Order: sequence, then C-alpha cells, then structure tokens
Amino acid sequence: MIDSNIDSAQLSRGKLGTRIAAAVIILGAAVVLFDAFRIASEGGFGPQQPGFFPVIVGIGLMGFGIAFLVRTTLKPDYDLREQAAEEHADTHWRTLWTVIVGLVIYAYVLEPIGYIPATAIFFLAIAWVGGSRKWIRDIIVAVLFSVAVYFFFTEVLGVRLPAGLMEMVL
Amino acid sequence: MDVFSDLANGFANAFELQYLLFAAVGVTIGTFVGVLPGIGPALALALLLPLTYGFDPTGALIIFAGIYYGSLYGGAITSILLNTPGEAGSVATAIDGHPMAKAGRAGPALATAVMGSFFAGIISTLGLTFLAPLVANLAKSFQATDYFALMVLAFVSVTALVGTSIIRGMISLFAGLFIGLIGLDFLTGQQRFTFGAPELLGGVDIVIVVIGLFAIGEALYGLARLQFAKEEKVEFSGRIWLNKAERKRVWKPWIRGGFLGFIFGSMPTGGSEVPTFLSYNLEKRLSKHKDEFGKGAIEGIAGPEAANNASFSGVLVPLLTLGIPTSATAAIILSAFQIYNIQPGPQLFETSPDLVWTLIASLFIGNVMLLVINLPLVKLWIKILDIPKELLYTGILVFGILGVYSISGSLVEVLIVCAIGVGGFFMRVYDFPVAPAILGAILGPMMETQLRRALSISQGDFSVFFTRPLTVGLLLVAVAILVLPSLLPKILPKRHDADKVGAE
Repeated sequence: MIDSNIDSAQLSRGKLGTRIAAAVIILGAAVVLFDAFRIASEGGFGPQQPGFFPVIVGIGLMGFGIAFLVRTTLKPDYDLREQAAEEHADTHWRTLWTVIVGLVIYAYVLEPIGYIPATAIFFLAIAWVGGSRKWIRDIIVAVLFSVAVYFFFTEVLGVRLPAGLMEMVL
Repeated sequence: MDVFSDLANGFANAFELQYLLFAAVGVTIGTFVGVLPGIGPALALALLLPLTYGFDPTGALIIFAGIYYGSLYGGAITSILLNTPGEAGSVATAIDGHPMAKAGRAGPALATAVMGSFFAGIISTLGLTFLAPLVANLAKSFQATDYFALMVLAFVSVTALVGTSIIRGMISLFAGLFIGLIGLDFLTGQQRFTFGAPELLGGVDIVIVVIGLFAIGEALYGLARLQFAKEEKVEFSGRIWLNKAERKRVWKPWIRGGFLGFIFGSMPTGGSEVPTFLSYNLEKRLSKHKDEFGKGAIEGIAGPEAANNASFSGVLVPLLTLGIPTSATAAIILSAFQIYNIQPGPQLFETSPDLVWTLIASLFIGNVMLLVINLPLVKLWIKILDIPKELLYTGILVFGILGVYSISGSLVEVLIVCAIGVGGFFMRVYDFPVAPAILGAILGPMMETQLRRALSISQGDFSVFFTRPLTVGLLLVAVAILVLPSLLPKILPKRHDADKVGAE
C-alpha cells in the first residue's frame, strides 16, 4: 500500500525515530524500576509481597528496552528501520502534535465550559486541522453532534456529562 | 448431559420480543460502527459500553453479542472495499478481499464473508455449547498454580505467535503489565505506581486502555496521514450473491475456518489473529487456485472470515468457564459482566445458568440476524464510507473521550487515555504489536493474584509450580512456544506485510 520511494534522508529519519523510541522506552523503564524499588522497600521484595511483581516488570521493561536499543544501534533491524522511514514519510507531524494539544485542552475545558460547547469547538477545530475547509457543513455537524450526544447520554442513558455554561440556559 | 434442555431454556429466554429487538439493534449499531474505517469489534464494544447501562444483564449481553457480530461484518466491509482492516483479525481478509473488490467482485467477496461468518458462527457456537460445560466442570479442580501457568501460556503465545519481533512484543507485554499494576495492591492496600495521584488508586480500567490504543491511537494515526492519504475506495456494483462456481469453492474453507477459529480461539493465544492467518495459509496450501492468492482468491476470504467469527465463541470458553479473557474483545465483555457484578468462572454455569445459556442462544440469534438484516442492506452500509475522513476521525476522538468520561467522569483518566493513545500511535509507527500490551494489562493483575495465592498456600515454596502435572504441562507448552519461534515464521506470514495494510 505504501509504495513511496524512500530516500536516504527519510531512512536516517527512520533510524533516528527508532532510536528515540528506544531511549523513551528505557527512560520509562527507569521510572518504573525506580518506583518498583520504592514499593519493594516499603512493602517487601518477597514473592508474596507487593514489591515482587513491580520489580519483575521493571527489570523486564529495562532488559527488553536495552535489547531494543541494541537492535536500533549496534545490531540494526533494517526491516524495522525501513518501515519506520515509510511511516515517518507518511506522517504529517504538525497535525499530530496539534491534535494532541487540542485533546489536552479539550480535556481541561470540558468541565468548566460544559460538554456541548467544548465538544462543538473541539470538533470544528480538529476537522479544520485534519484539512476540512467546509465551514458551514462542519459547524452544523459539530453542533448537532454534540447536542445529540449530550441529550442522548444524559437523558436516555443516565450518564452525567458536564453542563458548564449551558446550566444558565437550561 | 442436559445441554439441550439448557440451551432450549436459553432460546426460550432470548426469544422474548424485547430481546429479539435488542439483538437486531445490536447488530445494526455494531455494523454501523464497525464499518467506520479502523474500528474493529473490541473498539466498537468499548465505545458502546455506555449503551448497555440502561439494560438488564441479559439484555445488555444480547446487545453486546449483536454489536460484536455486526462490527465484525462492518470490519469485513471496510477491509474489502477500503483495504483498512479495523483489527488484526480482518487483516487476512483484506489480502484477497480488496483485490476482488478492485476486480468488480465486491459483492461476492462480502457475501462470502457474511455467509462464512454465519456458518462458522454456528459451528463455533455449537462448539461452545458442548465444550463450555465440560471445561467448567474440569475447571472446578483448577488450582492457583494452574491458573498461573495458563496465563504464562497466554502471554508467551500472544508475544511469540503475533508480530515480527519478540523484543518488541515483550516490551509491549511489559508495558501492559505495568499498566495493570497501577493502583492499590489488593492484599496489602499499598499504593503502586500511583505517583501520588488519588485518581490512580483504583487502577486503569481496561476499557481506557482499549479506547486509548485503538480509538485515540487510530484517530491520531488517521489524522496525521490525511494530508498524504490516497483514496483507495472501490465502488460497489454488481451482484451480491455467489454463483455456483464460487459456492463450490467456499464451503470447505468456511468449515475449516470455523473449526480452526474455534479451536485456536478457545486456547489462550490472544483471539483471532493466529487462527485467521493459519486459515489463510491453510487455504492457500490446499487450494487448486494457488496463483490467485493475493490477487483475489475467494477462498482467501472464506477461510479467514470464518475463522475470525468462530474465534469469538472460542474465546468465550476460557472467559465464561475460567474467567480469563484472552483477547481485547473478551476483556471488554468481562468489563460488561463486572458492571452487573457477574464474575465468570467455573461457578458461573451453576450460579447464573439462565444468563449463560441466554447469551449462547443469543449468539445463534445474532448470527441469523446478521445474515437476514445486513447482507441485503449492504448498499446502505457502504454509504457510511462516504463520510469525509476529517469528520470521521474527529468523531472517533470525541466518542473515545466520551466513552472514558462516561466511565470515570474524571479529567485524569481523560488525560491518561490521551497518553495511551499517543503511545498507541508510536507503537503503530515502530511496529510494536498491540495485543500483548492489552493482554498484559488484563491478565497481569490476575496472574499476580494467582501467583501470590499459590505461594501463600505453599508457604513460599516455589516447588508447587513443578509438582502438579497440569501446571507443569502448561508451562512446558509455554516454553515450547517460546523456543520454537524459528519454526513458526514459516507457518505465519510476516507481520510486516500485515502492518502495511493497517493492522490493529
């Protein structure tokens, strides 16, 4: 399906990407291992005590993380590198980061401004980031969608969603 | 053995008008969601979990069975027409389904998938009907060490059999185990990996893991590639039903796929991925039309789709009788059980026979509904594919967040799901299999419980793991799977190809 020709610049970006991934995994493993030892020092290392499993998981993550790092540096996995390069070439990174930031903002404003306005704005913004330029259609879809979801969940399913600003209107 | 009278009771319950209606609604919603590109059965169930809050347990499970079958069928539609399988189980379908659609034979391809699912579903549900009570009986004598060994086996097989790299599979598995450990220790109440956040005390719900990895990860992946995406949709036209020559070619793969799917589904190997690829390769080997494989061989759809459907009833065997979910889908169903305070396990068949048998009966009904309602409506379903992709992925994000918010109602969990989603995105880019992470998060806590239980009974003596024959047998199988990986790539095709068409 992906048949773009990969040039050497893309290949080196794939290489860098896999190495960053390895570094992130090892960093994460270090955090896990550190906390695991803290748990174990409080609760005990023994097989029946709460520290046992976390330490195993930490060691496992670290061990395989280092093995993965080796596969991206000393003993490279060329299939993976090539695939990573293709994936990198097909990814529009700015879109990715914008959407992630959008998600975090959405999560934070959900409670204060309420489900309907937050969702409608989020929907509109992400559709725009995704490349949609049909404003009128998107506004109609965004508003109808968020209103329909809100009332279906709160009225029919009995799930509480934040009313926020709408509280004054409703 | 009064399986038949039990099943008859189940049918009597399921045939109530409201339940039939639920089954029809479930199948319809399931197809609607499953037809959205990138959404497979596990995600469909996770997203639609809130829908079941308003129902009694039986009704909820019937809707769930319907959603499952519907989304499976919806997944077949997108695999065949768009070449975007929503879940690992439909990857094999796309290999030959998409070329068939390109050649103007989308109708027969879909019919093969649906009817194959139907026949395989019947075979495997019958298998479940007879096997589950036997396993439940057997499971009563299971001890903690056996459970522990079973879960070791599940971890090893999902990591070794799925994916190209054991290293990446293991990282995925341990990441899942880590997520499973977050929260209060069940024995001592000590906080583990909570990093001081009170919201993490209760742990991370598996539904959040599934929504994060599949919904958020998938939507991020889709959105980030939209700028470069090439539309590959194939127009649907022509006949739907199979002609005589096609019928002759598909019925054996259906039956073989049904058996493979059920057998491998009921073993702890992580659901549908292994049986679908085994079935694809088996059909390729047995076919008189080997040269057509990869270019649109109808057997290449018939076998894997049958196996895909059948593996679900197979997965229900360990889920219902042992309480062990061996796939993401099964884990979501277990969550649904737990909402109603039902604990699957050896006792389930005695404590809630009505529920179990109604569920099994509703699997039969769901299969029939699927065939009756969905196949004729295929031209309506493919209209959903016309939804602009920007809106579609945005909608998936909104539904994902909604699903998490409706379970937890907390900001922290919404942020966690976003983080897991970002992780899922990079797992796709760097070809880390997702299945081990999910299985790790589901089974990790259970495995720890069983290990500690076994050791507290034996008073810390590890020899209990090497003295019980069943335990030793299971552990030996696990070791065999781990040390035979040099042999297995010859049976399973390389995951590399699968990922290019968008696995998981």
